Amino acid sequence: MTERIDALQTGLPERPAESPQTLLRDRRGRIRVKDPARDRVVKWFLILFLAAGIAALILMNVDWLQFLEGISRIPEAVSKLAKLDFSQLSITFTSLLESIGVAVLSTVYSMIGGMVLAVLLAKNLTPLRWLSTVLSAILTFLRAIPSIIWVLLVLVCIGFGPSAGIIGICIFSTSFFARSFAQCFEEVPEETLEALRAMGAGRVKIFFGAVLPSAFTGILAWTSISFESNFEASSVLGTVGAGGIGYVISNCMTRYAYGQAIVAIAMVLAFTYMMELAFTAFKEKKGRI
Amino acid sequence: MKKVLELKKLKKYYGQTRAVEDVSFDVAAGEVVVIIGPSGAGKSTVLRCINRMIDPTSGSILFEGAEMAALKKERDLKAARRRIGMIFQSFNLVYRLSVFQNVLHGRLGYMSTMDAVMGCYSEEDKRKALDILKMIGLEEMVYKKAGELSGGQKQRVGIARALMQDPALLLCDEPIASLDPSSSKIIMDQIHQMAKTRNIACIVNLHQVDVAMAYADRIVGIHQGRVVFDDTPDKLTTAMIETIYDTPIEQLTVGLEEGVAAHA
Amino acid sequence: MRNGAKIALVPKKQRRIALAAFGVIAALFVAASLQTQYQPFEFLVSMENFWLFIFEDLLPPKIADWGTILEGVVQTISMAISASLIAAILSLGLAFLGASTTSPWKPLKKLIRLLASLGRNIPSMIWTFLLIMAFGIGTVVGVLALLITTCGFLTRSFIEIIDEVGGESLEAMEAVGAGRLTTITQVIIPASLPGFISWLLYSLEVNIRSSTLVGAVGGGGIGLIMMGYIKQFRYHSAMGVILLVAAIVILVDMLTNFLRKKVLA
Repeated sequence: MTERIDALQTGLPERPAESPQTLLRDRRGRIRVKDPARDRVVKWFLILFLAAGIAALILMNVDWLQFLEGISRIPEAVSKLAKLDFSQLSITFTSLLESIGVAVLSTVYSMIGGMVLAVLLAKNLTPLRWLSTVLSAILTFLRAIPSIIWVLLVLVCIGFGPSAGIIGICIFSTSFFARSFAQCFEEVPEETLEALRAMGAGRVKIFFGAVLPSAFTGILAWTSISFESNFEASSVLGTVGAGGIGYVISNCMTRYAYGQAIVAIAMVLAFTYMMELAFTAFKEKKGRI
Repeated sequence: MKKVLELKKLKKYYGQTRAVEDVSFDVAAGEVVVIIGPSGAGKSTVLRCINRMIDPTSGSILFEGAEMAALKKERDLKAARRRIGMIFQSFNLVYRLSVFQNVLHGRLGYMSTMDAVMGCYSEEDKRKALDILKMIGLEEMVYKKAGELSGGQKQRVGIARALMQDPALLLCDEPIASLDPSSSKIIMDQIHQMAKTRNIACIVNLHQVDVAMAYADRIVGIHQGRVVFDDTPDKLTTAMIETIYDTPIEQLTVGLEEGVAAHA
Repeated sequence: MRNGAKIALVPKKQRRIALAAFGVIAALFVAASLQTQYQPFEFLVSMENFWLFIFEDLLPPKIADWGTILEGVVQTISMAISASLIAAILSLGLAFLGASTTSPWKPLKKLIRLLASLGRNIPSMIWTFLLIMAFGIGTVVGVLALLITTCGFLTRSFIEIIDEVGGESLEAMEAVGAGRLTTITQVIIPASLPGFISWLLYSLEVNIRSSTLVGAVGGGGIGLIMMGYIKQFRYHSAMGVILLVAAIVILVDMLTNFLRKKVLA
């Protein structure tokens, strides 16, 4: 004890040569406070990301003049938008309902479809290994194409109307649900499944008795996420030629009826904001339970 | 012996709710004072009032002769705080940073704003941190991330961080409540030893009466926000313990274990 | 751990939530079906058209003009990356002003949260429409639209991460006598860095997808080219572009997953 204190009070003690911890020093001979090797990956990632971003800005060939001119035109644009026009309110509201309806239907249908596919996809439930692999590849492809593009393609095929929106969004959303539900199912502990198998329970019983209840929270979370993104898609699919509130917005814009457009946009905003509040409240309530 | 801290009639109310009613005691340099009392008695609040992390409703806190409770300016408060080390139940380290960096955090209050913001520690401070780490037996963990250590080792880093402040007073808030018995012993031994060898006044909040008896120079018993006992451990009678905890002694041991388990 | 006998028993509370959730979804479903008049099996009738369209009009895909298309691809990817980078830098600043633990002024914190909410709750394609009014068609609009929505959700996510760092390590800094700025650089940033990076990678994934869409309604890049093909009924070429987009999205997802494993290990 006393030797320790003596060492401390005589100031800088000599580090014994056999000390297993060799101090790291920087180029100027100062002691390092952390091991640079341990943060190297993060450091390089940030540097590369910065470099990629700057390269991207250069490659884009941004027309800075256009940018500056645009900024100078913002007040003008805002004043045009500020002339609120409620004359088309009832049509706008009906279109909002249609967009919500499309989002609800595509979420429900794709939930059902996604649930079935997830059972085939989840590694601990699938009846056939190879089927799971093939399915996984197909779904990755379907998910890689944004739902709006699917809507565009379906639109060309079956024409104007909510059906195109629902089917198009479903293609994306089903594969999204399949992937996320499968993840939830795979998180169900293997012991639980084994115990049930040992009891002689069939596949169906295992699924409804154990897998579904344990994955329930995850399923709810993914459903809310998916509904939000489906509403986003259904609210803008009008801008590429399908119906709903997006059509009202793009139509108003092309007619220079900015006052009506901003009312429609405000309605979209109000709905998404309410949804956000509802989901946050629900999450907090669940957290308390 | 020189008094480092004198608390007089400390009181803290949250609205109408009473947390601390009337607490007065003092601590001398090199003295280990252990505060015992049931959960919710106000032990933690007293500790946090001392370095003004909680503002007391009334009362006086004399630290090294100066009135802590009167400090208004942020700068004066910080200057006073850096002379008061604190050790926490949940260690309160930054787990992503190295052990070395966590220990050096103890110096931040002493450095110029620029150096502190940039994390430029002087060579002298680094040497000092290495010596302290060596003394508490963590010299091989210098470059490990704090999150990779065991609970007892984390608390030792907490002690090292507090020692880096060159404290005149060490506040330990339930330092062993999250630790297993063998780590607890190491931590209590080290706190005790630091207080004695470096002449630091030390206030420790504890759940466990037996640990308090083993390490305290003086025990302060708090019951419903009031000091009901303030004397050497040998004067602490069974009857007194029952008064402090408001429970018969047979039930108390069980209750204490549960309390510890709940914190673990 | 559950044992055999307990497995079938679903906790009562959970069963009630499940029933409530099911009820709400069913009610919404019926209401939406009535409102949109959607026939779920309608598409089976037009199935033949479907296949005809896919195999005659869409397949085989064709890349009409490699030069233009590659230029478009580069522009679209650049839009996504630069929007993510600028948004990350802006959001970092905004998040520290908007987080409960670091915000210097309460009204400012409220304002920032409100702006973030506004940014992310309006879809990027609608932002494109609004921005076109001032900036005209082109990549400037695309980047700005992506920037606004990305800033919105990154600011909010960063705020959550900063607030999660939470009281404990901050308490220690207070006890040590460190200042606010020191606490931010020495404790909060190191502790939240993995969270920041994780969201940054996610924003990159989202932006790679949205930059095509934003492009389609006037933001330039490959999206605008694809939209042009569709309007001219050149479906083979459009399909070529779509497959290219899918390939890029898959590659970027693989890259971000790889980085997530490497960087956040």
